[in-house]
Amino acid sequence: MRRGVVLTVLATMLALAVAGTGAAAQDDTVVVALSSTLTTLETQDTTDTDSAAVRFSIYEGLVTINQHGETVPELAESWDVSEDGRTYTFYLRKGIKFHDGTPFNAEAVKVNFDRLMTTQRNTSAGAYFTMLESVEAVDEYTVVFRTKEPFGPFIRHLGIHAAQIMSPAAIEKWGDEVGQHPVGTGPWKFVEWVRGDHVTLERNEDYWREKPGAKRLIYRIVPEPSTRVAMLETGEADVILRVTPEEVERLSNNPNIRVFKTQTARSMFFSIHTQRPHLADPRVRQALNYAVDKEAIVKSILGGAGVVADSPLGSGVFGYTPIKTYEYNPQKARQLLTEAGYANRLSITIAAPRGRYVQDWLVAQAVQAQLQAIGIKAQLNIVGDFASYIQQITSPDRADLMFLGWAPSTLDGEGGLYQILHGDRANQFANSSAFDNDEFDRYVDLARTSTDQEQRLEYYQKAQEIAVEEAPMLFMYYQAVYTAVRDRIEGVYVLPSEQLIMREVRLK
Amino acid sequence: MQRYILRRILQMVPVLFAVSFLVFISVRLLPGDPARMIAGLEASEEVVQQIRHELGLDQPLLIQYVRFLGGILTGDLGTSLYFNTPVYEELAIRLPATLQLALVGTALAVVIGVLGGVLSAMYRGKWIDQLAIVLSLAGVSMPTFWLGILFIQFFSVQLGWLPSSGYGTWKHLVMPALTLGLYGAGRIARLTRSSMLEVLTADYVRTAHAKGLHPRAVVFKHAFLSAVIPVVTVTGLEFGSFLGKAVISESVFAWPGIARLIVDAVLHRDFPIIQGGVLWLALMFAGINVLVDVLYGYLDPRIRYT
Repeated sequence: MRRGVVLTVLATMLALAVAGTGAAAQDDTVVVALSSTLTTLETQDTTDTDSAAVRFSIYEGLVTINQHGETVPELAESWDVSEDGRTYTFYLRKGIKFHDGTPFNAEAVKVNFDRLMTTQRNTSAGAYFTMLESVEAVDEYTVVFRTKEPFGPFIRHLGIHAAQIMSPAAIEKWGDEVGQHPVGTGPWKFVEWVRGDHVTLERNEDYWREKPGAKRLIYRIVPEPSTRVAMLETGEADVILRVTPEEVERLSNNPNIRVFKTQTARSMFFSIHTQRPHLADPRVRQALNYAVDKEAIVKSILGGAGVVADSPLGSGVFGYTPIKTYEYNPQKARQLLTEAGYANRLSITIAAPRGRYVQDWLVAQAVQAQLQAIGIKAQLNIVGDFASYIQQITSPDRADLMFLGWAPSTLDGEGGLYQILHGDRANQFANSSAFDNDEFDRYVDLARTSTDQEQRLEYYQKAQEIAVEEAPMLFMYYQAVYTAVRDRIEGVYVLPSEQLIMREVRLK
Repeated sequence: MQRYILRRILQMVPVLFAVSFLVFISVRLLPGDPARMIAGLEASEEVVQQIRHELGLDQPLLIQYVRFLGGILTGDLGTSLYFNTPVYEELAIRLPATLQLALVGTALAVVIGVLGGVLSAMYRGKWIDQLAIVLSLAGVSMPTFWLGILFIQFFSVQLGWLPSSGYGTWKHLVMPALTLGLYGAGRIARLTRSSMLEVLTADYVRTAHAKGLHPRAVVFKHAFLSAVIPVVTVTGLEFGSFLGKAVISESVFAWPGIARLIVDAVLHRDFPIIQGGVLWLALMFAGINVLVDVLYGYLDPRIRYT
């Protein structure tokens, strides 16, 4: 009889469970399986990639950065820069409406940027716009931005997620909760967000550009990579991101699945602590660079997902110039060590995260082995928890070499060089090389304050030449990522900033 | 009886108080900075400092703890650092999913485990017994994670019977609950078997046999009730460990529950979510224990509450 009770309870639970509805991929519904829990869908908060992917479907910016890493107009038709480089006048596209019917105009832009510059919670997003002095709506479709100083990368900053424009009516209505009720101008309209489970969007029938070729778009949160792969195989998902090299081959053999590779702007390197006595000599640091076979690592460990680095800047970042690759040459490495007086007596520590970057800990192990092969005593510490790992970056007793990936969200040399190599940041976040080179700093500073983009490129080239010669890092490779999609859809692509773009998705 | 229950519930208060302190301290002993996790890698130290200040993380620990306690007393678990939403809301949204999974998982574990254990004891040494022993050993030793992936490969990818992940219909529930339940079933089956075997050799059972009762009546009416008491204890404890095991099931099957929320919160150092979530789980666990103790009296008339 008691077993009967148990069975009744069980049956009731199951009956309750039936009440919900599932979200399987249907003909006109496209499903994306993301990996991490979404934080918020407002534009001016947090920096996690997966939330930003959803935002890219809902919102648009004045400008955007396209697949090739170029800045292109979006909600703005054009703009001019004043003689002194401090005033940017934007001429907005006319006749665009937010999903709630609010007209898009200069006032809407002003409301967004005023909020970005003043709201507390938006400190991290607002940090990209500390150079702003004021934003004024001159007339219905003209906005004037004024910066405190001439700021070269300004246009690039307008292309990031934090500068995407939300409906001013929604901001007023929802206040701090606007992130749960997103309203933008983009090709997809918000329908619902079941926290921890999925976000549903539907096509914006009044979209000002070509509309997406599917009715609904669902982003599902699936933390386990092998489950995401299974979902793609069963057709429950149409798109999965960051496919591991091991899975690429299996998925490529499936006739219903297409796998494509995107070169990202993420530069992978080991920072070398330049202020430690045994690593202060550039010859020692160059020796480390010559001692590692980057080509082989990219080929065998990453399954080809990357290209060997020839600069500290990632390819696709504004200012990137190929300088030179330290070829694999153990002979030369030994010779440089001997010249510096460290033959067979260099002892270093290495730290690497596990599970943050593609095959990160395996790459670190390979590097350790190759350094050992030329007589360097290399000790490796792999840290599984990323929060504690990055904490070490500023720690005085951090490892000599730290494995890091750097992808500036502005895709500009300023974000790509200042934080990790400028002397102002030495021993602070994230210059764990403690690199402090006046000439390098001078070029980075010049490139920041110049608004002549040709001139900026030249400054960045000089800065990169110095960095490569001084070798404050063990330059590794530029990360590529694999994305897998069901063959029934097309028009899906990934930006160099690793953002998945679903704006132009079509059914075949 | 009511007084007993009331007393037991009051006894939970110091336990929960201790839990609140332990979880508060332990999350802060972890290396890693919540403000940095919110700000992202590109943010400068000044920005991180400012966020730390805005969130009150630069206050002395004692003040932070008193605030946390004060919040609990007024029913406010604080605001998630990462989501910027009330902790209570985040937990409440995910609680039904976790409860559903844990209850159905436990129910499966009990049904399969008790049935297997009883059969095994009844047919001691026969093939049924041996099969049950092997299966329960497998249930206990198989890593939940691996079993989950096997299920997905078999039932979703190969056969296409069940959705590989997600939340909603009973079909979504089958694999996560089964993955969770089989582990418990193995333990319960082994315990039921040994407990039954012990009871089956007791004098009163021999007497029951001697006076000519049908063997099935002896087993189910006389022996089973006594044998099942330790099983109830273990099931209660098992339910607690389910809440922990649920992390794996929730991750593999993308089940939007509390366990996964807490693990994510640990990775992001979202202190309020960890604190609130662990308190919730502790409350549930303590509540189950009271329930188990009450069940004893119901099952065994010799046990009286004073």
